[in-house]
Amino acid sequence: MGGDTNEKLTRDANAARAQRLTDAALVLPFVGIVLILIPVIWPAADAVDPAPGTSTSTALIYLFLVWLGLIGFAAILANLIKKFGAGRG
Amino acid sequence: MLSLDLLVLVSLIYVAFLFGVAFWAERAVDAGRGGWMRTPLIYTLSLSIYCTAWTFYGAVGYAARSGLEFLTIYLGPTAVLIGWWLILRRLVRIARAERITSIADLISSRFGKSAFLGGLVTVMAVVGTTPYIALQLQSVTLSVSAFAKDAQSIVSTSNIALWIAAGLTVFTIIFGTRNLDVNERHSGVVMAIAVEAIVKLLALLAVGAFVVWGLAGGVGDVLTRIDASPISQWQVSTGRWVGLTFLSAAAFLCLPRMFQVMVVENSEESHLATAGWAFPLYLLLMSLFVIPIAVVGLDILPAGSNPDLFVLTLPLSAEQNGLAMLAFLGGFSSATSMVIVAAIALSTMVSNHIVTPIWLRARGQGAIISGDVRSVILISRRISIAGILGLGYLYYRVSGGGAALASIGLISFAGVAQILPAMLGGVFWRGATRVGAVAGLICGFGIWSFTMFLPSFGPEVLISQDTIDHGLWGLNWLRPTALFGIQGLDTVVHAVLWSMLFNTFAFVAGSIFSKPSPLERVQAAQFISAFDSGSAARGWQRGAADAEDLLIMTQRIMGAQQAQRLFRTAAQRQGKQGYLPDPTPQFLETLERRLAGSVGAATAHAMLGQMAGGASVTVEDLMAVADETAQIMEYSNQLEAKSGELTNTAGQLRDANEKLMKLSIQKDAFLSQISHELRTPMTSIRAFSEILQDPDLNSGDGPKYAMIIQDETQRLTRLLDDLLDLSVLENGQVTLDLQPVRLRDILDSAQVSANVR
Repeated sequence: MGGDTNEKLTRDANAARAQRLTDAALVLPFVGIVLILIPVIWPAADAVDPAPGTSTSTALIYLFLVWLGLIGFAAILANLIKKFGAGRG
Repeated sequence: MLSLDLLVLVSLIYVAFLFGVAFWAERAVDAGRGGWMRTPLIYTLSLSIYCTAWTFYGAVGYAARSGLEFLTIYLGPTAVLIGWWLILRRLVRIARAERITSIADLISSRFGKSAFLGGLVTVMAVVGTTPYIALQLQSVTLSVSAFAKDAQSIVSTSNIALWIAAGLTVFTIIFGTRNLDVNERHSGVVMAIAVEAIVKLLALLAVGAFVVWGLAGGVGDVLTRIDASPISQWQVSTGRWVGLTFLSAAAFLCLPRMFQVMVVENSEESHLATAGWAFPLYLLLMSLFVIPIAVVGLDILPAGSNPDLFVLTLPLSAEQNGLAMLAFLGGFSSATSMVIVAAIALSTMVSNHIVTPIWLRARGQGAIISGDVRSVILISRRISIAGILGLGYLYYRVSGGGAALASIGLISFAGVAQILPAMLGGVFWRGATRVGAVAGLICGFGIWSFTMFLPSFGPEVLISQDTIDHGLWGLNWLRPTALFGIQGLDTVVHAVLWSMLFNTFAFVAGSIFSKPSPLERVQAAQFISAFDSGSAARGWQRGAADAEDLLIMTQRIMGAQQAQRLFRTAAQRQGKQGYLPDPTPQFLETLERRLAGSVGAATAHAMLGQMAGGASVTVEDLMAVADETAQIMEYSNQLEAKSGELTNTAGQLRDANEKLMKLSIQKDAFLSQISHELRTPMTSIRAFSEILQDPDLNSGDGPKYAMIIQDETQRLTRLLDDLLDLSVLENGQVTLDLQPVRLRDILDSAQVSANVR
């Protein structure tokens, strides 16, 4: 009896985890798109009259950090999804 | 300076090496040792054909001209890949289930296996890819000319593009058309591409590292140089940043070659999970040194140098010949791998969606029995490959090879992106119809041609200067670069905005205002419900096709061995010996999917339709099936009613049984009671009749005793009457016949019968 209950609990926990993973996998690209499109609201050089706008080096560092972060999250997510087999079938 | 001859020699050795890799990979797969080739790593590397010569040379040029804007081309695909769960997984699942061979096949198959749509998408893909192939030829020619500035050589640079095109045609024909079944996958080509992916990544990283730590003084110095360079400021317009990111994401999904490696050559869905982060990482590494190379190039090299060639000219100017050679091979790899895969993907589409349908129609009904489809398809595929490369070469010649690499690439992207609405709509929206897809594709493609493709040849080639300045037919609001009089938009943003808007609108409106055919509905259901297990019946009628004919036809298409293996497996599964399984609907469906892998879904359907004697799905068939279903439903309704009746009867029986049981119990109780009642008067009758027989009886007593006997007999009769009355049995108790009597009479009679002696 105890074994059954534990098994069921584990199964439920795994199902819930798989659901959360699926949700995360669905949200990640949208977070990525928002972060990628953020530079659109940066001040451009010609918009700001005397002071310089955003410098290329700053933009470069921001974009590559965002990129790296997205890759990292995608990698973690991919491993978790493989491990827990979310969304089978 | 490197001599051009050495360059050609090294290139030839490299090409021979690639041939060797491809041969060896195919051998390994044939010998059953190819398992390790189907790993997520190889899959990810094969995706790198996205990074063509445009990336290798063009990105630096792009960055030198417009700063960080070049990143949009890599951020779009990154968004698509980290969102693999959303779109790519679905595409791969559908392609697997439906044996999709190309993006044209996907669209055609989704919208009712429409041959017209397949052909339309194929034409669009060929037209859209032609500038891209031209771009590769141009970049290789450019890179060779960078070496050949002052060197004399046996090869002239003018016909380099032609030589490259010819060489690529040979390679692609050898490795791309060896197997007909696309689902067998091109292991050799994929392996060669994986090697090229590594070469170009290493080459670009090596050049980048040399530039940052060799020419400049490390990361800090590079950042200072960036701030001091002409591209020091963030100057990307909102429209271009959003538009190009969207465009590259769309093109990533729709480019025929990307669809080929990403969806068709995908051997396992889980590879997507790895590629979902590993390929963005590849893209990041590819673009990591682009800005440094551009900035240092602008800084060091003489003004007026072509920034598209900084990757080559920077090492050359520093006399780093080995590095320059590596960079050249990297660029060469980028260009060739793209052309090879694009040619394979497009030739599959051309032969499956244009040549074969036309050939089948031309040969008429008897075609399948008398012709050898396999050789026709192979020949058409080989000719297509040559034709596609020829078109690319022609575009290169006609467009003059003058434009910057990036602008050519964007034309191509915008062209294939027109397929996106139909593709996503088809995969996610059940209501999308063929009419909508055709309308959307034609609208989008038309606007793209008018605003982007035709003007790209330059004025007076395909489109007159007058039209460019004053609009089509002199209508001012129909100017290619300012539709509806809206001026000042960037050319690319302008073309993408209008073409995608009209495309999507026509697609949605067409879908809403048209009715899908029954086959379309079936296909829509299959595509939308790709993640539900089990497939709906598609209606091949049993027994209409002869297994032997089917085997003959399949042999012609797939080759004898594969066909026989397929048939024998099917026969074994049915528990039969030999090569000929029963042509069950399931078997026909499997066969259709396998054939679809070779000739495309629409053609396979048509062929099996002919073989099965017109047993393919027609409206009438579907109506009949629907009728049958209705009949079955009615029958089942009747059954349900009957079963309800039975349940009722059973309940009644149970009630009756219960009643009977009760009755039996009552009967027992009644009998035991009644036997007592009967015995009492009987006893007195017997006793008094014995007394009457006594000779010593007082004469006065005789009548008295007879009287008692009579009374008792009467009582007995009454009892028996009651017994016979059914109500006694039913109600379980005797109904008393109540009447007024004198108590004294009863007591007397009781005393007399008891105290007779």
